[in-house]
Amino acid sequence: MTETGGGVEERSGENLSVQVEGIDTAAIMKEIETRVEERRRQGVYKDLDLLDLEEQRGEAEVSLDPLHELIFLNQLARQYADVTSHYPIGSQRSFLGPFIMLFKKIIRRFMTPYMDALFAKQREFNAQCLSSMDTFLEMIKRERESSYHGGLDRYTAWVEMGFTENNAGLLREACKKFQPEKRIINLYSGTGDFLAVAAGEKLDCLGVEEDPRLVKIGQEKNLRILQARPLDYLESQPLDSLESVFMQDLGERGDSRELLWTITALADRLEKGGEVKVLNHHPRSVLGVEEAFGDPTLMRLIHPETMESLFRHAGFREVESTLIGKYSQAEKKAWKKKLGEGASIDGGEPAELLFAPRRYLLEARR
Amino acid sequence: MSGDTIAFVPCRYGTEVVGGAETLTRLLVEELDARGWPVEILTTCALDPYSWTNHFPEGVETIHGITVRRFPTESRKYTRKVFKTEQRILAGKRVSPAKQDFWIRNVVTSNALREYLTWHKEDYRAFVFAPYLFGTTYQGVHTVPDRAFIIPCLHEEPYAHLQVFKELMRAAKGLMFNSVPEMELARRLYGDDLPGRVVGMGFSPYVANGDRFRYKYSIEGDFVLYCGRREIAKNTPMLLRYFCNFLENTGREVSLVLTGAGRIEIPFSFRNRVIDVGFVDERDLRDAYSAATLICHPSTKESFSIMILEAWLAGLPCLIHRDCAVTRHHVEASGGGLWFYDYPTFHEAMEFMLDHPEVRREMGERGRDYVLGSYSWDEVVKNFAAVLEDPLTLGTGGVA
Repeated sequence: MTETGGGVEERSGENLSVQVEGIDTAAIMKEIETRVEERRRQGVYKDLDLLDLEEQRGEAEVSLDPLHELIFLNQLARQYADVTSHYPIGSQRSFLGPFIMLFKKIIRRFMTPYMDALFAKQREFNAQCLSSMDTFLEMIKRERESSYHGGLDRYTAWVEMGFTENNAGLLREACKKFQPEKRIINLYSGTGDFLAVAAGEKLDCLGVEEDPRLVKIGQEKNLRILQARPLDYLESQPLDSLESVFMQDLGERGDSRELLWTITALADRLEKGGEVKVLNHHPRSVLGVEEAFGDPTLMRLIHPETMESLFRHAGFREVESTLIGKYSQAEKKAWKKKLGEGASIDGGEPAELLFAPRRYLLEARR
Repeated sequence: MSGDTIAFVPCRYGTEVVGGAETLTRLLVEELDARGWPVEILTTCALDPYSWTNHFPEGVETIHGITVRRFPTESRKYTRKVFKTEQRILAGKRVSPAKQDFWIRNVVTSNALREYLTWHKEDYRAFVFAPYLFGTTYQGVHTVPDRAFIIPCLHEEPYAHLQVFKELMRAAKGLMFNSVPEMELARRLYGDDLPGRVVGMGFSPYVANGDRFRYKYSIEGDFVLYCGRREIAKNTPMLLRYFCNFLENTGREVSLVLTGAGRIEIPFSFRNRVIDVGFVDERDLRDAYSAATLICHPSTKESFSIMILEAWLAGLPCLIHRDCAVTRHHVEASGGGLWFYDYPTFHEAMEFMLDHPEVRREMGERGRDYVLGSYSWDEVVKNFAAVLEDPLTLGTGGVA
């Protein structure tokens, strides 16, 4: 260990290390310079020109985010968009070179009016293409900005902030409604709560979840989860191929249009007689609603009658919803205590609304 | 407009204009306006700092509540003679004062603006020109010398040594410098008795969301941020070369994210690690500061370097070029970063920064303390007022 400035420095293996307390940038720079002198002799620092570097790397395969690909292509197109006949004219030959250049320049002078007429159209076309690409790029950026959840995505809310609902009992109840021999697809499976319960009930179930962080959590619990956007997954399946589908909180998060698209896609992809079960929050349960909105990622509740109507409209034959998740006596007691002794909630319509079952289970058959 | 109005005369003006002097002028004007000072902008219709063609419509408009009068530029006569003179200047060769005068008159001028200054000089208390290098400043200062102040944004470059600029600086009533090294350079070049002091620019803490930037632009993992114009004078091609070599030599998974204007040719095989998000608005830029691992500013020609100071406010450490007196001054005074001067030092400094998140955090905090302690708007406005009142007072104005 060596003392450097205000901090204590040590060499650990290959890397420089330093203590944070009282760091001295001048001392760090001195150490860096010493290290540079040592390693320069070892030929560690190859500083190639970009063209040479490209040549050395060859056709390196790189995977690119689609947005970055578009940005890159846009810039590349911009470099070549301004087509002109005025490219530099040169010649490699020493003696004949000036004559060749003169000849080329004369030829170009004669050709320029014809080339410019052609190039003007090409330039116009290129400018239109660039303008369209700029518009696409801007639209994508705007779309991404508006779809940013401000940090309150499901992973952050459920895993990092702990806003999770414990509804294992309800999921068990839903599991019992499935025929054991059928293969179940659990769309929007999240961390795999339903999959875990289904595995306990010996059901064959595959989860589909978009957020890779939630998928990872589920996979660590040895659950079968596929990372894909549920709607994309549905659309990639052959028509009339799915046996059973389970979804929780359908349409309660994200873009409301996705609800309609999902139901329509389900109507096409389910086999004849195939069934869908949806476990959603019940908007007529006042306390259920309060519990539901304890999860900050929840945006809306869908009334069971609305949901039934959407499924029927999509072509499902048998559509029915039942209320599940009744409040136990202990829960009612706890709520009464929380709401205050003075609250008159012991009977009649207010109590019915207050303690109505917190969820509904919609069952639809194709 | 009243006789108390202070007119700022930048060569370009607008929220979409990328450039240190222009941004500094805009923020200073907006701050003065917010404090009740009568201010106005007299500028050209240009947006592009290379062609100087008229982009904005001529006339009066309001930007963020401030009156902006735009005047058309003359089409730039970039003849062979101008080019040759410029080449001689850049090569450090002797250029006669007449030729210098000829050259500067061909670097963006506006006769309409000059005429406006001639006819309306009594309507304004002072004219503040920025930066020193352009024909609009040259014409303007010589038109209204008794009311002319310059925010020179001076740095060490061949143009700064020209006799025409010495005369320009000495013709102005007062100079408003951005930093102590800039003022020292000016006094070394143009004389110790140059009137003026350090005014600079103020900074206020801001709230930013790095996650939002990462989400919007699909950026994952560590990334080095570069903000500003991409041009040889700013050493952007050098940064790109160093960075690509760094990736090749170390195999590290770190990206370079570029924001700002100007063209840059990204090597095909590095396109997954060098991401050019182009011009971004102020919110995205602040989010980028908050999301980045460190900011790299390789330019050696800076008079202030707003982006480093803004990045420090987000707690972002910086990596700068040793040969830039101003950024080096900031880094040495604050302890908010490291510097490099060739590829090996860039390589080692990068590795050190990437390997030490706790040191990065400490450097970022030091930078933040430095900015908040030295560049408050109260101090800047006080110094600005002092130069207007008594430009002959020499001093740093209490700025670091």
